[in-house]
Amino acid sequence: MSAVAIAIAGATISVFLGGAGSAVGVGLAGLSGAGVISEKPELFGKVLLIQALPGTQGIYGFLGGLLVIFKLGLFSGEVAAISMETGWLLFFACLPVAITGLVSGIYQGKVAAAGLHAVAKDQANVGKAVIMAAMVETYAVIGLLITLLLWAFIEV
Amino acid sequence: MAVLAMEKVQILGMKTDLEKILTLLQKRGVMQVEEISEGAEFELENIEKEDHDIDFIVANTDFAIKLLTPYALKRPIWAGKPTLTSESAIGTVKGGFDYRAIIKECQSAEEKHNADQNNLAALETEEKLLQNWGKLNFALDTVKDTAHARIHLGEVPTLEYDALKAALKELGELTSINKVHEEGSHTYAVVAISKEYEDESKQLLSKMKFQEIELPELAMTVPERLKEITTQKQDLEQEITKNKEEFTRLGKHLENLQIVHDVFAWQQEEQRVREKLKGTTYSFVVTGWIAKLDLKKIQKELNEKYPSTAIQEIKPEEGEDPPILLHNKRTSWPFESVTRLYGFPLANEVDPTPFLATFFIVFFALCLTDAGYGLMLFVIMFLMLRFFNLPKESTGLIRLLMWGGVLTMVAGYFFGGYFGLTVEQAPAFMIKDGAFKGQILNPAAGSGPLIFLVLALVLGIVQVLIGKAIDGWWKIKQKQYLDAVFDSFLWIYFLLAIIGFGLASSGALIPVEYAGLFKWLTLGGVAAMILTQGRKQKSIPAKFGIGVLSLYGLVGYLGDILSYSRIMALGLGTGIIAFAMNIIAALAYDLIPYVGIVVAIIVLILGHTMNLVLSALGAFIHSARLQFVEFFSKFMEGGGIGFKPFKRTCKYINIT
Repeated sequence: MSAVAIAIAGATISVFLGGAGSAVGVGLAGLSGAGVISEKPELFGKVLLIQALPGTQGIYGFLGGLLVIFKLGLFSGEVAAISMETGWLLFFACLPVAITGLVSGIYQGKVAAAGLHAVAKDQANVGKAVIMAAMVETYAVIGLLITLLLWAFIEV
Repeated sequence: MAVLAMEKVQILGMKTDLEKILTLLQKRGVMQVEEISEGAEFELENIEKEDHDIDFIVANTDFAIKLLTPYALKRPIWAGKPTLTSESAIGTVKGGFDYRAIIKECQSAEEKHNADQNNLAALETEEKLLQNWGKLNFALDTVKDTAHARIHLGEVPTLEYDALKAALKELGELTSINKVHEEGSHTYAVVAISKEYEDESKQLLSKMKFQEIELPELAMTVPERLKEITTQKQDLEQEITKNKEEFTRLGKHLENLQIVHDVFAWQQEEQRVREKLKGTTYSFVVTGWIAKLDLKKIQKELNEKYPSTAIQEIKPEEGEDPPILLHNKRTSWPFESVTRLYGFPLANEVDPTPFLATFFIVFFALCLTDAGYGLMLFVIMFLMLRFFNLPKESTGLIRLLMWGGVLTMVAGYFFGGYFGLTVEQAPAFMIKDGAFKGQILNPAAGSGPLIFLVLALVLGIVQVLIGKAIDGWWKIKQKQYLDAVFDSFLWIYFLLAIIGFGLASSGALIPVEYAGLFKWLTLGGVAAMILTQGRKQKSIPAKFGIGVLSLYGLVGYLGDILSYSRIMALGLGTGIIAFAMNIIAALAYDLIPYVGIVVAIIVLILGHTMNLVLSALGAFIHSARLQFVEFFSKFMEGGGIGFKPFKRTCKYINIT
């Protein structure tokens, strides 16, 4: 396998795992949300806000993929000639955002779904439900942080 | 500026003034009325005026409003709710608007509409049923069992039909089956069987999945009935159109109905308050909470207008906590919406709003760090404030986002963020010496990310220390001097000493020769912590044990400060996604012939809008979280219950 292929494997894993985490999370929250709006359709805006929360992991994963693509110069058409080591470095740099994105996306979805039950009872709970879901997201942000730092310091 | 001090008061007055006093209190909206507890010195009776008419009108105007809203002229989104003074609202109710007649018209129109729709649905069901039997050329009420034969109408799976036919023939001569209609996998048939083989035939039919269908007993043939149904349906549809026209006509009264609803809802609220009152034959008493700030004014007004009224301060009952009302200056008022997200502080705690305001908005701006996005946010929120009719309470968040936009522009200016453009892509007038004008840091290149990270952590250290300082200041105000010194200021000293030691030993900012000094300062801090943190324990070993354990609290502070690194991750993320949107748009422009420019513009608009919405949401949530989890925990507990004054609460209109 070429060095570029290894780096691209990192990019795809990042997009794939982050997106998978968000898909499951947004899906879980969406199931609860549909239940809430069947009873109280006027809460749609608030439900949508909470349902969207586990979607950030997908964006972070997408961002991780983009970083590798930029580094390799794929957009400019001149693919950088990188060593095997750099390929692996880029691959490993993708892992934090990928894996934290997968796991936190799923759990954030569960918390968001539970938060929607609280909102169904009293819509004043929206802020608290949002913050509780955001507590889970912290770890995806930290994963993104390390991926960003590693990416910034890998020389191509 | 703070959590307002509350007084529990008692208003005594003559029953003849009761109506007017309640109206005045509700108009001013400064008092939260409380139930009067049992055990007063003298016997008091309840004061209630049974008036179910009010409940009736509120419920029915609500019904009429919900019914008519889809048919009424839509108010443009910026117009908001009907806005008027409370006097003109009351005038509408007392004036010529005959809401009772309108309600009645709505009720009968809705009843008719429902009946018509039910009839239409019933006809449609019947039509669907009969459509399969159109070939029966006899009146349906003639289909009856005879003395010797039983007749079944029903459906059988098409695949089973031939088998059923054969099986019936096998059963005996006195059977017949006639196919009436075949549609897909269903075949509709009439089966006639001699009563001789009744039991066997029943088994056979159910084995062959023959399902009996009951048809209405009509004195006409199926095609005749179907024709009749078509005309009846047309009539009903016309009726339904007329009903909708009627709704549209009634919809012109929607605004007046909304006013009536709210005015009567105020009266309903007054009824609820009456239930909490007590009195004697001629007098009444009402108790509740009033902010100290408002007390003088309402006292004066009451005494002037109703001289036989007394308003006096009373002691709250044991375990009764005053409700919380926050009061902030114009500049920090919008940030109350952040505090409210968390909940209210307790009555003896400090209002965090003015303290979190600066941090919140700076964090928010750094999480976006793009002058272009800041400008968009500012313009959108400014236009909403300027041109939308919004009730004042809901403008807080919009104002906050507007100022957030301004700060984001500043952050974008210093960090060189303009819709994710790179220096090479940007127009020449923005560039000077290979960087954006005014740019002091490129967060995505070289040592930029590290500097940004350090900046985030420094902000974290500052906020945590200020949180501790607020804690100490508040404890001094509460005269808990010892706690202030040992639990707040000692920690601040200790944290500063450790940071100083770290900086000095690495030679960053503080020269290395001071490392020794800071080492001793830190060790002194450790000793002081061990000696003081267990001071509330009884036994000597426990004092030292807790003292040593308190050093573990450092891990908590380390975690708190590292948590601020999210600011850098979010700030960088926004810029890189914006950059990616530009790249994708450029690719579309290059690769797609002819319409490439159109696709590129669509990508730019959609992509940047999506990025702005998601990033601003993330920036808001994570900035708020840093306040709630990392900052508030240093000086407040929260859990206060909000002040709910007796006032003119509106659902459908705005009162100016």
